[in-house]
Amino acid sequence: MTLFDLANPTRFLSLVQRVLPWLVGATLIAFALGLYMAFFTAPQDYQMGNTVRIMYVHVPAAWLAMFCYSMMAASSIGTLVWKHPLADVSAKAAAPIGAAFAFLALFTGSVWGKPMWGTWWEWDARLTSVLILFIMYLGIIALWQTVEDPIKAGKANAVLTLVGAINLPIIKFSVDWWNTLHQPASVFKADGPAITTSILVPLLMMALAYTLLLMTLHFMAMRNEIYRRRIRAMRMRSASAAPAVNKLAGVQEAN
Amino acid sequence: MELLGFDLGRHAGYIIAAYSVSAFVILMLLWWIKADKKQLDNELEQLEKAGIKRRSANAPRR
Repeated sequence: MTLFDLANPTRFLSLVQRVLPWLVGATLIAFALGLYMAFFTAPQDYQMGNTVRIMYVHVPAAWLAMFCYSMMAASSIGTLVWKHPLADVSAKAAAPIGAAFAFLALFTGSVWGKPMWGTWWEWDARLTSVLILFIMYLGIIALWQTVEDPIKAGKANAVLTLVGAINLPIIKFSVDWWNTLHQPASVFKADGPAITTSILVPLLMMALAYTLLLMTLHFMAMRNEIYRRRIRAMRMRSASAAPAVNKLAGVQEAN
Repeated sequence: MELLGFDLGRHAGYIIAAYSVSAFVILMLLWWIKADKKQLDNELEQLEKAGIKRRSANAPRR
């Protein structure tokens, strides 16, 4: 099955129906394993103590907030270039999920920052750029709600999403380009991860759990969006058929 | 501070806040998507009961 076969929403819905139970199961198993590792096998950090355990929810949330936006940017290209029927469905469905992950990255970062840095918030490059990402998500959700026609809304949102994608490399490299309280990259580095294996493995397991959760929620939200568009099309067909029926009834009455 | 026999140290409140808010937000997101699905299913059922069908339902099978 190719990507273009899935462009048919009905085919996509049947795929979701088949894949969703497996995704839910895999997500639950990954979370169970990840949380067990985070609390029972991962050691305390020699400086941060037990607060290092906040990392297992903070870092995956931040990664997924960025990944979700990248996915929306790819979908936006699909909308603008190929007019793929599922591209703007995917972009619209991903926005609230990405906003939730961005919020979690900000919140968990804040409650980690207070005991470690002595402050809830600092206007430095990494924190500010992630806040901008969160605001971008809210703006995109608002735009989807503002324009009633999903095709027009899809195009407007695709442009806005692609403009906002400039923020992604800024978030990634903010810790290298500017002085910041936030630590530099310690997992995705050219010379390999700077974290010890006993902490890295639970982190990657939680990242896998979050990724599976994102896929599950995204598939569910895409399914909803396809149904919403079907309902809209049915209502419009019914509304456009109604005057013709009324007109016909009027002609019959006149005769 | 001890939780379920596990000592989270003096910053336990921050760790519990991070995990509980994460769980709350994820569960709310899941609840919202499921509630949306339920509402859409009801709407679709009502439209079908009113005799309004999808265009493809009227199309001849090839």
